[in-house]
Amino acid sequence: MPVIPAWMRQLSWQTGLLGLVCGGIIHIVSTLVLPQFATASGVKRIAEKLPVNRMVVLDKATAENQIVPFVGPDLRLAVCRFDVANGPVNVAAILPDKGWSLGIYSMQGDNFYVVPAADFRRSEISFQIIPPAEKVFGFFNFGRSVEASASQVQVSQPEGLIVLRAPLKGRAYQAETESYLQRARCGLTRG
Amino acid sequence: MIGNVILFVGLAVVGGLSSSWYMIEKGSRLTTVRSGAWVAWKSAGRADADPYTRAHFLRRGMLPVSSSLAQIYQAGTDSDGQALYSSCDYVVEGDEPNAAFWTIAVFDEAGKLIPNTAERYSFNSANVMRSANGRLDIRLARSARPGNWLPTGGAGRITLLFTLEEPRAAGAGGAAGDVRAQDLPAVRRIACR
Repeated sequence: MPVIPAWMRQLSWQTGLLGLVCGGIIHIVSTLVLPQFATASGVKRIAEKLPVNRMVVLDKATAENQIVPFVGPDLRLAVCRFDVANGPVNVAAILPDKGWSLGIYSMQGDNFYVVPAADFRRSEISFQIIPPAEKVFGFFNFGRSVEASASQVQVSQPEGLIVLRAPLKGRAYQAETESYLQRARCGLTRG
Repeated sequence: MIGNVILFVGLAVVGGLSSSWYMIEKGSRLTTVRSGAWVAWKSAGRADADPYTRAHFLRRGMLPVSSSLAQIYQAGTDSDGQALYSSCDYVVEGDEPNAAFWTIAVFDEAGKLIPNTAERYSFNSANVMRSANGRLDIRLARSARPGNWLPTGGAGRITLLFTLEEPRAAGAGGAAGDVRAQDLPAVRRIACR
């Protein structure tokens, strides 16, 4: 028979069980809450530096000029910080080759909408971002319908980022890549 | 009495916080895919991501692209599980993945690009030199090496990021999103100073 030390015999199983339950609660709370107080999310870091409802081509990442961690120089980004509080926002971009994509991010960093380029053909995309439906007590949609058409994307929060990602395949492609990025548009719907 | 207090604090505070930290920093089989040195978070960037994945990318301040579009593999260790240091030389070798575009970049532990006079931070599917048999052979070292050399400077601990845009299964006509983790290149240590 193994000998149990005296100090261990004084421990109660109820204390152990209570410790485990409280540990579980602390685990859940810290997982959900603590990251919010940590370093600003990548989306917020970019959003802080951008004007609202205007597409901006970001500089190529270098050691001296890197807007978010773990983004290398092989990707060029055009980014629009949108805000649909004052009405829908129109978005237009060209995805000229495979590897290009356009995504929409929430301020929490969720990439909830993404359009990849089609293989071997140029795609021109345009759509409208529409505000979230107003809800009564958070349950019933009120006012605007939740069904958006194929050319509309309804967002759950009024602010976010539109990110056009372009692979930079080498210096020879730099001017062409830059020109496609510069042609991307984002702005409030007029009229 | 004191023993019970220590037991409670140990289980509740230390256990709760450390298990949360581990699941956010390292992940588990539920949240990550692992192969050799490489780790990818299964639901990175997605709106339906689990809380650990969401916390991981929030804490690191990253801008994750949806895992439905790109697979992003991180390596903080070599294929033998030893931490990557800038004072060591490494080779990344293996078959080239089948993807619309891929990049492999080296960062310091915080995700910053490592300053170097060559201004070289990465290679991609368009500019990497393949060996005679078509395989990848990328060298990580402080000082210049022939072929595909990625400078690691004096960064201390380093991290590799392997991004596969629109990955496909190996071979012509492979199905989308089917790159197998075991098909990723190995990260081998050559020597340390």
